[in-house]
Amino acid sequence: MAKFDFEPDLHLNPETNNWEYAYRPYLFVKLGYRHRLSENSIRALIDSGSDHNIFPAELASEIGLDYKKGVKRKTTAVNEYAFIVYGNRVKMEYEGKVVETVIYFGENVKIPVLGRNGFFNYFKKVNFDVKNKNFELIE
Amino acid sequence: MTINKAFKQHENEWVLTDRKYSKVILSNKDLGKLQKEVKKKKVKDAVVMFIPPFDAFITS
Repeated sequence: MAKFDFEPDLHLNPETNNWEYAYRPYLFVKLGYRHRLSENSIRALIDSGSDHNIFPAELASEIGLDYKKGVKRKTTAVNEYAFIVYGNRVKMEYEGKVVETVIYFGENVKIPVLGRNGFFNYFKKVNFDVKNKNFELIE
Repeated sequence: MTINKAFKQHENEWVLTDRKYSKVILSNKDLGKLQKEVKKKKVKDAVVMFIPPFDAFITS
């Protein structure tokens, strides 16, 4: 079992105009393809509402992956707009562990997302403790 | 953990920072350009992250 604190984002409360922190379940990951591994970590949001892992296309180029050779799919968020992503099998490292998974890379993706297929399914349970601002990955 | 207030200048940008958010090492609105700078300066073991809009919440 691994436990992680939620990570802070700066948030300007529009009602009070005060600066606050929005704490969110982010995980620091590195991506790998063949013998290349990203030099720096990427902060990715753990999102149980996302069907798959979605990452910005630029992160594929860093590891020498021609992401458009992957499986082309259409994805949509909560609005009506769909966009194209390409699924590729890559390595993902977090906290010293390496797993093989599928990440869908797309243009104009701003927040890398770890979803149910390709992340949550590697664990027996993923527990969110919102009150105490942490989450557990239970294998 | 808190974020250095210097991050206020980087809304909607990609930044390279350390794990404790103590400073912004590099920043750019374009992730591709940021990656080129990172490679040029040979920065390792830092964190790449997007600074979401300060007055918005995130949905999937």
